Amino acid sequence: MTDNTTDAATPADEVNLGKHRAAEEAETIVHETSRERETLLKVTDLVKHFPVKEYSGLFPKTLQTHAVDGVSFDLAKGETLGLVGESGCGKTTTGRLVTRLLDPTSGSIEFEGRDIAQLKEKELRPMRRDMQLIFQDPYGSLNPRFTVLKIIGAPLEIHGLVPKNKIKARVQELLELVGLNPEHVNRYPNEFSGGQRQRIGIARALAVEPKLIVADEPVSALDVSIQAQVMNLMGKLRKELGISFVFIAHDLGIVRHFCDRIAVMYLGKIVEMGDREDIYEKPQHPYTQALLSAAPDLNVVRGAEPGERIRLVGDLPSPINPPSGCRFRTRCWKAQEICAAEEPLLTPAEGKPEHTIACHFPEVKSDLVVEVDAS
Amino acid sequence: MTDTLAGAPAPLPGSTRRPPLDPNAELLLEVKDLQVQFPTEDGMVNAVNGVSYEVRAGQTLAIVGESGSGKSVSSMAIMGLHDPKRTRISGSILLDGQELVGASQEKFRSIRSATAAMIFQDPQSSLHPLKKVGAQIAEAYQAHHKVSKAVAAKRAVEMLDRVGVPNPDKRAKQLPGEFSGGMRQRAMIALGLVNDPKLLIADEPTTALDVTVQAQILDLMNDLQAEFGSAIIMITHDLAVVAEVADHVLVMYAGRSVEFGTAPQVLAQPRHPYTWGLLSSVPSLTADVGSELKPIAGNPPSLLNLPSGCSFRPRCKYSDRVAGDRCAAELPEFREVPGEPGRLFRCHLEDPATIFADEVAPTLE
Amino acid sequence: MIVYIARRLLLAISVLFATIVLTFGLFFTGPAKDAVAYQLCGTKCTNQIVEQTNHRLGLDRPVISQFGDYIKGVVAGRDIKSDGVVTGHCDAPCLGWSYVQSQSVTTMVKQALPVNLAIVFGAAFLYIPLGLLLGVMSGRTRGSPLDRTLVGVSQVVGNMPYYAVALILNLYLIFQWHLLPGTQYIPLTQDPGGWFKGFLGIWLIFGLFNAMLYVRYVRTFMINTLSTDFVRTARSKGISERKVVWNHALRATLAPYLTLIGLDIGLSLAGSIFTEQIFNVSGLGQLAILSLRQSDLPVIAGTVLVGAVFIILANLIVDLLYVVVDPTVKLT
Repeated sequence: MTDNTTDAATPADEVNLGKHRAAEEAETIVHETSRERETLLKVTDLVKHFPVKEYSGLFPKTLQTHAVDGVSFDLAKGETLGLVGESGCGKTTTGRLVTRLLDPTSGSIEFEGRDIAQLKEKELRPMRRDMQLIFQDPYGSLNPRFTVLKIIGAPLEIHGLVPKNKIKARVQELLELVGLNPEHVNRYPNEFSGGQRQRIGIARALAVEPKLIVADEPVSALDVSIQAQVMNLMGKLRKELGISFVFIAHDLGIVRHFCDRIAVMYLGKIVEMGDREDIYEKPQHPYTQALLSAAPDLNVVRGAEPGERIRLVGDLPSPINPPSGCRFRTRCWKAQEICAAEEPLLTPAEGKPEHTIACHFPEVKSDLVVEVDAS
Repeated sequence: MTDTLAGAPAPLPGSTRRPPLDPNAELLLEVKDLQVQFPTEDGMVNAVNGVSYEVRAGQTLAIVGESGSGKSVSSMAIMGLHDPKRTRISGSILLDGQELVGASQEKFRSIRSATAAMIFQDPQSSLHPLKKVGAQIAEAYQAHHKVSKAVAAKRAVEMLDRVGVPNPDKRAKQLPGEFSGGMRQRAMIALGLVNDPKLLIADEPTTALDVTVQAQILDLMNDLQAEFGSAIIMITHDLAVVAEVADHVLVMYAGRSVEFGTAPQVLAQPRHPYTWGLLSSVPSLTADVGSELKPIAGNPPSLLNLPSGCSFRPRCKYSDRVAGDRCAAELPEFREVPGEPGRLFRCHLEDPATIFADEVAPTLE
Repeated sequence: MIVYIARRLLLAISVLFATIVLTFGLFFTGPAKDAVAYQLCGTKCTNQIVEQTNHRLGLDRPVISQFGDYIKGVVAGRDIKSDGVVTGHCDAPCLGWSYVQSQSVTTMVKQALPVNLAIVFGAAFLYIPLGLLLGVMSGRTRGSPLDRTLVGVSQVVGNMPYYAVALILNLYLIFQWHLLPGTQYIPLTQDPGGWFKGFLGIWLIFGLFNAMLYVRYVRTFMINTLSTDFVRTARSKGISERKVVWNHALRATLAPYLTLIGLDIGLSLAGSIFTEQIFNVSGLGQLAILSLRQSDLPVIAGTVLVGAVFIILANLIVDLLYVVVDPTVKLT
């Protein structure tokens, strides 16, 4: 805790970003229109069931938790997709499936056109450097007995990216890139604050020059003022290195700030997906609306009239035995018979093929988020 | 899980708007220059280094700050929950006319739950995992009322019903593990209010909960406050939550109170540079996208070794507006904001209103 | 709850059966199958004599049929034959037959067992409450002179081998200072007073030793529990500190404590060689040692089986008790 790295103040431009692979490829994409985007990741019908034992009879029965139940999305190079939803919605599991930290039950995960869903650990190893994970807990995800040099240098060595005698220099470069003092390579994780540790986690992910980073609640364990530092760092990296992100978070404000497109998940399924404007200004799925309406808003106190309030009743149903038809129907005020009988599929909104909603009765609601005059 | 369509409820109306403040409300709690220190092997941890605020009956004070700001530690001092052998507390805490700094454990015992109750962040770990929920609530009631077990048990069921736990009779006999997170926090609130305390201290009561559950709980607390008339101290790091529930706001930094005022004052017209920094760090649901967030540079100071003068100085962008090196040399008083009676802040700046209006406000939205 | 008990029982029975199969396999087949014959013929053994002996005792029959006999003996008792002539009877539950001593293993176990039961349960009567009491007091007043003394003593005691501690205490408390009566085994049915006097020294010394070990466990449990959120909640209700400690904190400590003790009791029932040797009483431990020295395999197998049964039984009881103490595990 002794150092005073001028955290956010590190001017990005001073740092030599080097020849990052993704950046070169992304350069060509950035200015193109979204229609011609090049797909990096395409997930189709991804399913993950976890077995759970139930002990009600003389012999235990094995049931399945439907953690992720038919999730499809794609991600373009340089794009950021936000996965939002409440605990138990399957967003974290999805992130781990995509990076193949978990084995999917079924479905395909095409990374640069190659289906990696069923690859064995050995075949995956060379692909691991292309996708990295950043975890929520900056305390638990760094080995406390390793120095920063070892933590960040290990992937460099494993993948043979840098000659042995250059590793330290590269690690220092990475530390500088994430706004840490390069002289601190020989320190241990406990000598850093929470925000700095998350920077180390990011540097470790960046070391292998990944094309995709899955960030699972990367700032939710951090204090507000530090959150902003880390979010800015990730924004900078995305812009300058052209890395694609799958950004998993529950904080709707941060997701809106960071993500191009957003998928809202509920009980293992995507219920609505679209770009930022679709989701935040013209949400059509009742659950998206409830989520936005539930988020407390600072603007209330600045004199804005509160938006329409939707309060969900009851608890999340069990993912072991999810409701038939639409999974949200047990808490939905619009539910009809058809909702129990038939599962709504993700369908494009009128005149907006990119905005898909899985609801039998979609309806735009735009007064959920309070607008306030900048006075 | 009932699989019927009858389970589809209408959305509930929200009720989070605050009623107008009653300026004549009775003064319930007055904290003056509170200090809490823990001697450790590494040295003296100065967890709280001078906190002053007041709470009036039936009103809500939000205490905002980041981890290590001393917001929980200072509130636990009101309940006497610090180990007296390992803690040094000085200053003054006047609750309902009684001085609590230096009070005996006997005294605290008579106050806890009866005059001031506390609910905690994690409802999962805050309830005894092996005791029935109803019994845990009843125990608190029996601690302050000479009633039979049956009467106390009935009271517990009644409380569970009032905080919106369905089937309270059945639920009272269940263990906390059989409750969902939101239901557990409702049970904690029932436990907190069972003796109808004048003050309810809620330490990050919704931080561990999901957004939609958080909204339910905040609504509930607002409704119950109207019904029970308890004053609430809401400890939180989430400014948006503050906006929804608070009458007054106290901002804490490094164990000190740095700004105090009504919620609209502090959140819409803040005067302390730290409050400015907090507000610009948060991406709102309407802010311009694509712009960078404006974080506060650097890290909070170590509580073992506070900087001289103003604790926020090393991270403050405005200390050069103060003549000389006063910010480093002299700890600012917690004083009235120039020209704004009833508002307090701890800063040497002479004209924070102008700086905010000219330089900070335009960057906020 | 009934289903849970049934499931635990079922599990216990299947483990028991597996143990019997394993014991039989280890002691009566493979390299061990001629052991009885060698033991009988001693120095005069030739292959021929061994074969004859095996044939005479029916030990050359197929393994399955011998195992059937063994199981039948456990369940219903069996006759012991030599050359087809009945030479003895082994009552159910027959744990084996010692051909050297012409005696059923069950009879020998029955003679030895009361000693172990008395030692273990008598001492447990002392150390379960004592360990809990001292542990709670120590954990609650962490850093106090009492706590430091208890931690110090238990550290010293815990770092010395049990037999050394027991031997020293035996020498001083009983032989040197005559603070306790000499230890011996007098059957309870014969002279209850003498039985009590004979065991008193063992109980106190063995019990105190164990109590000092458990003090540390309980103390650690207690310190951890006292800093939990739910204890803080309990305190914030305005109940007395005594209630907070003895009702709330202890309640959470009880389950792991009982598990520890239950398994320990099961283990020590199977025989405590040091205690028996040092205090001059002969129980299962002595029986096992004796039969080892005589290579009396059927007896060794019998004591192994008895030990296993105690451990399985202790597990079962702990599992059932746990449900009472910690209702959250009901379903697993």
